Amino acid sequence: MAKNWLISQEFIWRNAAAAVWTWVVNSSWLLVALFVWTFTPSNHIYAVYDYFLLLFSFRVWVLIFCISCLSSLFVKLHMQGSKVTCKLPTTRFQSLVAMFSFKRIFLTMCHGVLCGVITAFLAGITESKFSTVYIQCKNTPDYVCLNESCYILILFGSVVGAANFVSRSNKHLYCLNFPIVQQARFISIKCNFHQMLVQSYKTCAKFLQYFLIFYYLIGYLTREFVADLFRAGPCDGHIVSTLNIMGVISLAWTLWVSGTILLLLHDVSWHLFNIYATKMFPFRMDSVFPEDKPKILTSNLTSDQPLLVQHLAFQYLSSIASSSSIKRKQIYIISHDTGSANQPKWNLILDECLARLKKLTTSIKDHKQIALRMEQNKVKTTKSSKSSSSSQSSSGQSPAPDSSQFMSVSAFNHRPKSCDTLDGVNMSCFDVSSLNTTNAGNPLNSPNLNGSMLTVPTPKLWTKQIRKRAALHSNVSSPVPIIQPYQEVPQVPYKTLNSQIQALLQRGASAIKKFPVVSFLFNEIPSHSMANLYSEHNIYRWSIRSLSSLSAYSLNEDDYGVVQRRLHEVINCLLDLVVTLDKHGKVLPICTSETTNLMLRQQQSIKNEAKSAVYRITDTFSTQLESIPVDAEFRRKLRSFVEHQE
Amino acid sequence: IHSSVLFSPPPTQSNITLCELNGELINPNESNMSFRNFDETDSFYYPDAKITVDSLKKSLGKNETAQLAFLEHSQTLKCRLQTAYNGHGIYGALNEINSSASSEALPMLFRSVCQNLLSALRWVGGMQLPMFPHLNLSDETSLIASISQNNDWIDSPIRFISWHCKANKFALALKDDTVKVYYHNNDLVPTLKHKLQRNVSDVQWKPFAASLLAVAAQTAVLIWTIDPCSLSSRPYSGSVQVLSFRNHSPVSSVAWNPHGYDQLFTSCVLSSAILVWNVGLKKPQVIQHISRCAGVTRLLFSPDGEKVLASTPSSSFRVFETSMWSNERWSQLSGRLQAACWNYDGRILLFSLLSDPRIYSLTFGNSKSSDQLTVDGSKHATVVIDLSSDEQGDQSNVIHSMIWDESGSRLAVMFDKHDFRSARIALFATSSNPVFSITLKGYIEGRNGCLPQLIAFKPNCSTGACLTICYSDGNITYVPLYFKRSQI
Repeated sequence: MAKNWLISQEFIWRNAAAAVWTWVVNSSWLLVALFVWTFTPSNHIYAVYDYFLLLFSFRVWVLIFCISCLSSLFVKLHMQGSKVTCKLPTTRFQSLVAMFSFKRIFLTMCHGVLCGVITAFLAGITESKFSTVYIQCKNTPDYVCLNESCYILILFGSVVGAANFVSRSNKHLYCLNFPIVQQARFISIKCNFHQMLVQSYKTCAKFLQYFLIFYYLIGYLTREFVADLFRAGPCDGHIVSTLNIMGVISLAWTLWVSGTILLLLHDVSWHLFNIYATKMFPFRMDSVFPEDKPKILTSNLTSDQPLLVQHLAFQYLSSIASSSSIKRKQIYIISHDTGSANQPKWNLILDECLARLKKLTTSIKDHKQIALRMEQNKVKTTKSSKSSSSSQSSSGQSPAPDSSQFMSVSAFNHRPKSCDTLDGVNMSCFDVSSLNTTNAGNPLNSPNLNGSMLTVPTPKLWTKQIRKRAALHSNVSSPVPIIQPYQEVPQVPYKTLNSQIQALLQRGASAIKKFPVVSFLFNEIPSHSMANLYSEHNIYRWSIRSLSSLSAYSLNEDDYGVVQRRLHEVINCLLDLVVTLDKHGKVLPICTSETTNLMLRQQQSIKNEAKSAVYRITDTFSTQLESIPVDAEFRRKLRSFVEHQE
Repeated sequence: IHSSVLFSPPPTQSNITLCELNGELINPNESNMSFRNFDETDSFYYPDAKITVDSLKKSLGKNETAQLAFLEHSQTLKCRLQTAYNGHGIYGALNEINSSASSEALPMLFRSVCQNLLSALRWVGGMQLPMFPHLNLSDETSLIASISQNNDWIDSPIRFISWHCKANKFALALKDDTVKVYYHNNDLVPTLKHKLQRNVSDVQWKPFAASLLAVAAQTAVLIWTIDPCSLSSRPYSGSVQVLSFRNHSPVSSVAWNPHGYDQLFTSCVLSSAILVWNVGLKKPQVIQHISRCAGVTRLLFSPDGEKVLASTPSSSFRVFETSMWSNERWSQLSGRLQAACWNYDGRILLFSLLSDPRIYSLTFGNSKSSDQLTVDGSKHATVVIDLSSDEQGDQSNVIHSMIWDESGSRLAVMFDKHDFRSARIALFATSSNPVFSITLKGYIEGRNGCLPQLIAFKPNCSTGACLTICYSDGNITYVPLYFKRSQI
C-alpha cells in the first residue's frame, strides 16, 4: 500500500495538513472553552475576571499550545486506525479476534495515554485542587500524599480516551465517511462543530456516570496502587463519597467539562482527517510521459490499487462525468497512446465499472443461493431428526423411508431432490404414497406406479433444475401424467483414499460444529455476510453514476460513437442489477436490526442510483433504444423504464 | 426597463383564456366559436383533477389524539407534565408549562422563568437571533404561509402542485394534509397520508425517477415511493421514508439534485442550515450555515444543476455553485426575496422582492467551459420590468410568484391576492438570444369569482408550454401555449 504513488506522495501532505489544521482549530476553540474550564459553580461571580486573568498568562498560552500539539497526534492514530470500508466480521470468533487484536489493544492504550496526558495539561492551566499530583498529608505533615482530585481527573481522561476509541471502533465510526457533496474545509468545520459539541457532551455524560459508579465501588484499589507506585502516602479521605455530595457535584462538573474537551479535541481531529482523506483528487486524464502512467485516472480504477485510491478515482470519475464537458470529451476521444492499443478511455472505464457492478450482481445472487441452500439444509435436518424420532417411538412399524422420497403435498414443505432429476418442462412432483389409500379408483393410479412419486403437469416452479436432466430422459415426451419409476442413484464404484480422508475430515468438522459453543463461535452470521456485499457501496454508486452520465452525454458529445458501440452492455448490466436487487435484495428474517438497517440503506442507495441511471439513459435515447440489442429478459423492463412505469 | 403602464390594459370583460395561438391569447367570443371546445379536447392529454372544498376535512390537529374521542376528564398538572416530558422531552414540558391550560395553576414568576428558558433553549438549539421579524410569528402555519408560493396557503384547498418532469402526472398537496397523485391515463388517484405529513409547504418529484416524491412537512421530510403500476390508492406504510434532523423544522423547501443523484436538499425557515440528504442511506450533511438570516425560505436549482438560489427571510439572498458550495451574496435589498426563477441555461435569474412591483435580473457567467465552477454573478441586479400601477397602494405586495417555462420563452407572473390584478396572470414572451428581452403577451383570465392560487408550467411540452393554474375553488385549469420552442 505504501508503494502507491498517491499514498506516498499525496497523503503524506494531506495528513500533515490535517495535523496542522487540527492544531489551528483546536487552539482556537480551546481559548473560548477556557472560560467554561475556569468556571466553577462555587466561584461563579469571579468567572469572567478569572478568565481574562488567564488569557494574559504566558503559562496558559504555552499549555494551550502543548494541548493543541498533542491533539494533532490524534491524526497519527487515525492514520493507523481508520478504514476505508467497513467489513463486518462474519463469525463471532472473528469478532473476538478483531476485538483483542494487538493493533486494537495498542491503539486503545495510545488513546488512553494521550488523553491522560492532555488532561494533565488541562489540569495545569488553573491553580486549583486538580493542578498538583502531590499534596501534604493532613495526618502526617512530613509526608506527601497522592492528590486524589488530580488522580481522578487524569484517570478519567485516560478512561474517556480508551473507552471512546473502543466505542467508536465497535460502531465502525473509524471508517472513512465520504461526503455527499464536497465542501471547503472551513465551512465543513463551521457546519459540524455544533453537532460535534452536542455529541461530545452527551457521550461524556454517559462515560461519567459509569466512571463515578465504578470509582465509588473499586476506585480505592487503583488509588492505593498508584500511591504505592509513586511512593506517596495514602490519601486522607475519599472525595467520591455519599457524605460529600457537594464535593462530588463539583468534581463531576470538572470531569464532565474535561471529558467533553477531550472528546471534542478528538472529534475535530477525526473530522479534519476525514475531510483530507476523502477530498477529491484531480487525477490526470492523459499524459505523454510514461512515468506518469500510474497517475492517470484509468490506472487507478483497477482493483489492484489500494482501496482508498480506488475510492478517490471513482469519486473523481463520477464528478467529471456529470460536470465537466472537457473531461468527458477526453474520455470519448480515441487515444493516441500505443500502449492501450488505441483504445478510447471509455472502454477502459467501462470495463472497470462493469466488472465492479457485475461482481456485485453475481455476489448478491450467489449469496441468496447459499442462504437458500442453508435454509433448505436446516429444514432437511429438522425433518430427518423428526422422522427418526417418530420411527423410534413407533415400534413394530416398518422403518421410516428416506425423507427425500416422501414428501407432503403441502406447498410449504420442502421439495425432494429427486424432483430435480425428473424430466419434462411442466412437471411437478407430488407424493402419491398418501394418495394410494384414498385414490384407489383414480385413473392416475395406473400399474406403472412403482415408486412413490407422481409427475403431473403443473405450472412451472422449478423448471431450471428439471431441464438439466431432461436430456437423460428424452424418451418421455408425453405431456399427459406419467408415473415415473423411482430410480436409485448409481453408486460411485471407487473412491480414492484422499477423498475418503477428506470426507472423514468434513464429517468430523461437521460433528464438531454441532457442539453449541463451537457453532455459536464459528457459524456464519448471515446478516453480516450480506451486509459485507455492500461494503464498497460508494464505488458501486459512483460507477453507476459515471456509466449512466457518460452514456447520456454521449448523445451530443461523443463524436466517434465509441459509447454507443457498447451501450447495450451498460444497459444490460444496470438492468440486471436493478432486477437482482428487486428480486434478491430481501432481508433475511434472522437479521439483527443494526446491521440490517445499515445493509438496507446501502442497498436502497444503490437501487435508487441504478434506477435513476437507467432513466438517465432511457430519457436521453428513448425511442432509439429499440435498436439496441438488449437481452430478451430485460427488454420488457427497459420498455417500462421508457414509459416511466418503474 | 419596460413598464406595464405602457402596455395595453387588462381586458375588462371576464372571459376564460383558452390558449395562446399564433402569438395571441385566445378568449372565446362570438367570432371564434370554434375555440369554445378547445380546452375540452386538449384537456384529454392532461390529468383530470378537481378538488372540492367540502371534501377536504382537516385531519386531526397537531395536539389532537384518539383520546379526544372519549369523555374528557381533567388531568393533574403533574400528569400533563409527565406526559409532555415523555413525549417531547424538556421542550414539551416547558411548552406545557407555558400553555394556557397550565397557566392558572402555576405562579406567574415560575411561568415567566420557564418561558425565558424555552426561548433560550430555542435560541441555543437553532442558533437564531431574535432580531428577525419572522421569528415573532409564534404560529408555524402563519410562518409557512408567509413564505409559500401559494397566494393563500392557509385557506386554499390546494397548497402545492408539482408536475413530474417527464411523465404526464402531478402531485397535489391539499389542505387536509394529504398528497394526491393524478395521472393522465389512469383514474386511480393514490392518496398519501402520514401522521407526520402536516402543513405541507413543498412537494418535488425526483428527476430521473418515476416514483419518488419528496414532501416537505412541518416536522420532517417524507419520501414516498409510489409505484405507477400499483392498483392500490393507499400506498402501504413501508413506502414512505421519514427524514428528520434536529432543529430543522418547519421544512420550508426541498430540492432534488437535478442530475438525478440520490441527493435531496432541504431548508428550514427557522434554521440557517442547508442540508443535503443521501436519501438511500438516510444520511444528512450540513452544507452551509447562512449567517445573518435566521432561516432559509427557498432552494431553487438552476436547470443545469450548477447553481442554487437560497432565499432568506432577511433582505439578502445567496447563490451557490454546486461543486464546492462557495457562494455570492446579494444584500441591501428593499425587502426579502418573494419570487424567483432561472432561465433554462442557468445564466439569468429573475427575481422580485416583497412590496416591490419590479422584476430584477441577474446574469451569470458561463463556467461550463472551465473545470472549476464559479458563481460569477453580476454585481448589480437590473430592473427588467415594472408592474407598478396607480391603483396600487404604497406598501402592498404586487408580485406573488413567477415561473419560467423550460424553453425560456414564456414567463408567467401571478399577482398578490391584495393586488387589483389578482384574478389575472400576466404572461410575458422572453428571449435571451442574442440579448435578453421581455415583452408582455397579455393577461390570462381566470374563472369567475375565483382567484388563482398557484401556477406551474408542465414540463416536457413538445408544442410549446402548458400553464397549469390552481384556483381558490379547487379547480385546476390548463392553458396550452402554442409557440415554436427555441432550440435548447
